[in-house]
Amino acid sequence: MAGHSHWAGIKHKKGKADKQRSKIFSKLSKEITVAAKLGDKDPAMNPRLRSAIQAARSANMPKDNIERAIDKSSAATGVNFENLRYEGFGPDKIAVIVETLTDNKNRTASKYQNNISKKWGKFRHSGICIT
Amino acid sequence: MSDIYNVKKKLETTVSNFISTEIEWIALNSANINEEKQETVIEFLESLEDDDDVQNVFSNVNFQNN
Repeated sequence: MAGHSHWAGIKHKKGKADKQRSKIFSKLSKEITVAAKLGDKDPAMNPRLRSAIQAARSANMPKDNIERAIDKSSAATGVNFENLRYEGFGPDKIAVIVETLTDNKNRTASKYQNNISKKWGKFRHSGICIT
Repeated sequence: MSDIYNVKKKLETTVSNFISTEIEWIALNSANINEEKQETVIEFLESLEDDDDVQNVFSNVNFQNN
């Protein structure tokens, strides 16, 4: 295509990659915030925080983001995060385990019941796959 | 949680290019799927991962690398 900028060609690909990157970062920083909130702010004293930071580092998350996530834990005192595990069967009877971290388990639960169960298969709280 | 850190620390002294440490669910019985279904399955897993509340998704699918 004549007069076509190079950016126009790559923006779709890059846009998608950027979106995935930010999604991964937001998940990692959420785990850091929760870990810092539940335990000590010092990674040396808090194994969960330590492994969360290590996971963030290996995903090349900038140091600023990590620090911001730790700082955030002292600000968000009113929010309670919970770990929930969902298990279920997807297309072709594959077994899936989904680990979630949510501040509102009713919202998460209804999301699974409505969107995913309808389209793909059954999802429930733990106890289906693992015995 | 803290055990894995000690294991990792020891491994790091002998293994030079360390990639990642994670606690994962590993399926005892894995499911093989045929190639046509593979795309549906990937779409399904991505739709789960897309959610903001989701931290990790594990499945027992054997993906054929091609």
